[in-house]
Amino acid sequence: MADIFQLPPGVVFDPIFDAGIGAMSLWLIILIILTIALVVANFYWIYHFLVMAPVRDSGKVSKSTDIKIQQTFLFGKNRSFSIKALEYLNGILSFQENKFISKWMLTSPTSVGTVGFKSVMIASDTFDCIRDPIAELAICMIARELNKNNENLEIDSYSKILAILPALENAYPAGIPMPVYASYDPAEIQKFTPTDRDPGMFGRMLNRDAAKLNVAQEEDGLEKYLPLILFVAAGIIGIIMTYLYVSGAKSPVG
Amino acid sequence: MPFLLFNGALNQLVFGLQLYFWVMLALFIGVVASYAAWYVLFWQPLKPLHGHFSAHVRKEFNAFVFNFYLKFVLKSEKEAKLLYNETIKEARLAQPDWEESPSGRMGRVQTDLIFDAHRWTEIGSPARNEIDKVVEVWNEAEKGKDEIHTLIKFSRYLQEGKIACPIDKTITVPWLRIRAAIFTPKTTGKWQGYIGQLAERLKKDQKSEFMMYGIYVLIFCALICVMMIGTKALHLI
Repeated sequence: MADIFQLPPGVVFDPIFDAGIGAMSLWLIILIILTIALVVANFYWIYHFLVMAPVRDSGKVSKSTDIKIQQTFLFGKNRSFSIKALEYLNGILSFQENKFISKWMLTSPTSVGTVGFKSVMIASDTFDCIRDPIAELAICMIARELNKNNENLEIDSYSKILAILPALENAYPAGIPMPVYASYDPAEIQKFTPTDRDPGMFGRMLNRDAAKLNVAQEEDGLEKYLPLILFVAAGIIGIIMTYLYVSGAKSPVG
Repeated sequence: MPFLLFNGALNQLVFGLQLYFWVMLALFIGVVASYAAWYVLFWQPLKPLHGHFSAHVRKEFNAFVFNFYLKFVLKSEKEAKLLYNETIKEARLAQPDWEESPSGRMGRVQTDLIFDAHRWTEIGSPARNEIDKVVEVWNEAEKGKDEIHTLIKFSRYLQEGKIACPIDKTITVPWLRIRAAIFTPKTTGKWQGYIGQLAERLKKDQKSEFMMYGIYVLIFCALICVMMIGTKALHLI
């Protein structure tokens, strides 16, 4: 028998792992199980990764030690929202990627909250300030109350609420009382915010001013071209030296 | 004749053991390490938001509950809205005048935003204990007619004076906060510091851009040199 089934050189059998179970040996079965486990474990987490897409940046922020990275609730007019890692610098919140120009200004520290382990700001595509749901709830609630109690009065715009603001401050000197439990609708405040204040316009204005300042600061015009000039010079010298070498001419540097 | 794969290649001895042992060990480490890496690097930092995954899988709603200091906590719809330990379906049946919340969507999950200043959504909090007592009495009297099963309905009745409860009904939002959030005028002068930072960044970006152009030029010149040397080498052959 041994002559018929000649083993290839160097092949060593293990009495347990090479024992056949059906048509396969034990080690091959274990290998298949481990391979399936590897694939299943990764697919399990990839599924989690995809489902958590709207809040995934929160994990990125909580791991980060960069103080510029800011966890932000980003609300859209389309009623969808997500948590994004934005950049906060000198009172301005912006995207980390330059291709998105929207920017928001932080007007008060009371607009900053927390989610999990890190602070959170709330921004939307309708207004260029960081939003404060508590202040919004108060304004919307008082407007609703006024509209309900006065048939002749319809408070439904920024200019109208701005006009009655002094009267409201007289009527409620300590502030606006509101229920301690309420549903918050991020879209409701839209009618009470100025229409010409979208974050894209604000970001564009800041970018334009920064570009102007950059041009104005350009005293050392040549300095920024220096790396390019050096590289071009090095490239030309390299080509000349190579030409001299391949053409058999004597190099000027020996 | 035992099973032989790849003509016994995996049965060759490597450091005193068959190669398949090492492959098994590598795969085992791969399974454990990849699972641990996903868990520690991806899943653990998202701990406060795990409820989003549960809501997605169970096809339920959830809610971000926040207090006066904007501390947001993700809770299930049941935790955020209901007074009793029952399902949303049961609560809707028991309280037909169910109020839909003006919510948003996070991915496929409908997510409400609920302001809760005095921990009404926390079972066992002083305010919640008082609410539970009052609602118990109300529901006994109104059984099958006008039962209260949600905190929002309780809040409404409390504001309207239909129900009495020895807890704070309102919280005052100071004008300073309201003015800062909504009525701040847009002034360009205030942002000169940021604009200066942005200009510095633009300058730096431009320098890096020219550096990249320089590297491309150098690579191009190096290619020409290689081609020249290559041509000469071919001639020599």
